[in-house]
Amino acid sequence: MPGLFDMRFIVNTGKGGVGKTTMSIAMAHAFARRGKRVLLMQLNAPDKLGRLYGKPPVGGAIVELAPNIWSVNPTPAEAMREYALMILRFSMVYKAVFENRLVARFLRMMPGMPELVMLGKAYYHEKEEVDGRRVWDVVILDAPATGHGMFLLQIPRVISDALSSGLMAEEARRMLALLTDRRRTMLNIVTLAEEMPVNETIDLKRRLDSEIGIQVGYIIANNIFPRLFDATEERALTELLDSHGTEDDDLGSLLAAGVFRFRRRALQDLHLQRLDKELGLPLVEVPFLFEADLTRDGIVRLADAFTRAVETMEARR
Amino acid sequence: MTTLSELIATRRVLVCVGSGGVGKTTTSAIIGLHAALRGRRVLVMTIDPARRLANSLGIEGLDHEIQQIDLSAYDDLGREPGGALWATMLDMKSAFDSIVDRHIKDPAERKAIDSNRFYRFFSTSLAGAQEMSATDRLLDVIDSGQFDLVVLDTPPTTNALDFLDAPSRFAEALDSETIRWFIEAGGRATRGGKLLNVGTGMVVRTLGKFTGTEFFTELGDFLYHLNSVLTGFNERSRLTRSLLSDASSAFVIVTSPDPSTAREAAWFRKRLAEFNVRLGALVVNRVRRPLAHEGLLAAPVNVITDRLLAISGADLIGRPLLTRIAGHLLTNATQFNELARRDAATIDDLRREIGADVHVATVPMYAADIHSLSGLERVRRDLFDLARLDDEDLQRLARTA
Repeated sequence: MPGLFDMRFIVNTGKGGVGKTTMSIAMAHAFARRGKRVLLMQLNAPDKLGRLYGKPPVGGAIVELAPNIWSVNPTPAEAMREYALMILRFSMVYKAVFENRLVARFLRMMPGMPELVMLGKAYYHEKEEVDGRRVWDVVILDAPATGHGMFLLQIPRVISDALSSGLMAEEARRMLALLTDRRRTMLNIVTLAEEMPVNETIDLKRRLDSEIGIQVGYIIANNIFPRLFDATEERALTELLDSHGTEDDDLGSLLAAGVFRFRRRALQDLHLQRLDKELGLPLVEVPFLFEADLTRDGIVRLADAFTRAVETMEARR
Repeated sequence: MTTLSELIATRRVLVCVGSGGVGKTTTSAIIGLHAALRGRRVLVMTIDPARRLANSLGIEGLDHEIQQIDLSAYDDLGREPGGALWATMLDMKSAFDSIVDRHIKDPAERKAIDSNRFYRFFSTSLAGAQEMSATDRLLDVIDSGQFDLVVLDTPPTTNALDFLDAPSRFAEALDSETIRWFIEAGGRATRGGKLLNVGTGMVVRTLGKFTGTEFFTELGDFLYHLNSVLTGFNERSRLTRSLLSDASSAFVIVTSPDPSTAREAAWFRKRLAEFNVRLGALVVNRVRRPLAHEGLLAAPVNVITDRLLAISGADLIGRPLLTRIAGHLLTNATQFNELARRDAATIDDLRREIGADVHVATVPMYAADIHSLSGLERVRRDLFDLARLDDEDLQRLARTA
């Protein structure tokens, strides 16, 4: 059974604010370390990666962030132009049609159009070849948050159901085939071990199964506090704080901070158990980094933790 | 500077915006709750509250209906007379349906729209439709005159200000000229005898190659039926914009001290200015506070162990265990202090960027979920700088909950 690192097309989604982009770039490092050439595609997001790698913000042009890791972050208009030119071939025709004032205005708000061309671009890169050789070993799609991400993935089916002819319908059918190919494509849901992100994750997994049929590989739980105290220590700590009687002096605040730590972790454990019980999917716990701001070094450590967890789980299968 | 408390006492509309996962819905609920306890009649329009958030306010769940929240639990906690709280959920799924319902009364016309494939597939996701529907409802509840204050929670989009932008983009994209063009391109007008000019014909043929011709027929049909709805939109959209840029409305940016989220908050600030709306306050949730006493952090482990031994009573906990605990306590406190320093620095940067005229309110990170009545009350007191809950308050809340 093919594992995560055998995939050619990876989609990462999850609730807003859970760290999808961080997990996507960590995953890119994990692939790159195996000698794979990775394209990390963001979909018109406010770019966070350029800054992290000491480069200008990633935009419509593909840029190399680190050895074997490339990224692109096109606007729908850029993706549309690239896509239409590929199909129409002549830029004069493109100008006359797609840059027609009324058409351009309309296409901007046309439902599904931005999603279709963005997905189309990702699809094209998965296939891209130069001199008979694949350009990318894997395309990682840092997809939009749950609701919008779901809409993005539905577009190929919606269009292929709605239209029987035309280039758009043919493209949509090919994209659908890629999305539902379990040997090449895997979707991962990034989440936090908190109530709302977990609710969304459970709901999203069910909708993906019933409406898209894409393979859901891993649930990636981000920001898990590393455990410091074992059960005996936790009990003793609670007693100590109790007998000390105050959180307001030096020792009291030290004890209270310890209790705070293991209570937050216990809360995370409850939500992790709920994920496991409801979904029964491989669950990767990614540690919280006690750092001022995310750095390249931090990403490499996340990539390590992620790789170890995935390798252990896949070896057990 | 207008404080958050003053905003709540004086404004008619407060819009909470921010990135996903920062606690926007909870903050909106607490702002509404506080205003109601201060004697105002408040409606909170929310997106998708956690069930436990709804439950902690004493309601089973929330839907399109406006529900009143029972505030009797707060009778002994400084509730002022005259206030009342209502809540409703913005149903994003049937957003477009409700707009169509409002503008199209003819059943035959409605049926034609329902059977249009375009409408069926895209009515829930037409760019801007959800925002349009939310602002439509906002106008309705303001017009009803039932509420002194409406608190609006906004959808967590990549671009959280789509909310302001989308209705006008929608109106612009579908102005009458564009619609006429597409209706003609779809073939309706030619049936009426008018022929497309040569240029348009070429454009339509080329686009048709791309999209398939049936796309155009369906689309033209869709727009033809929707023409009257869209004309109504423009007027509503203009009214919403002027309501939101009025001095009686203010925006509240909700954020967390995570550096990348804070950078987004600073960016929202710029965008709000471009839209000519007023930023009232900034709320930073989940702020980690440093240890009140940092002295012990530099102490060797055995000093801490001795102090622990002194309080551990009748030697129930042995020295080896206490030594391990002392070591972990130091690691933990050092890690959290590092984060607390980071949070403080991020908030300082935010204050500088936001400007001295905007109130920045902070809420600490708690050890437990805040989804209970006492949890909400704790946040309310921290957010509005009220005295912390004491044991007596907690007992009162426990009695009434």
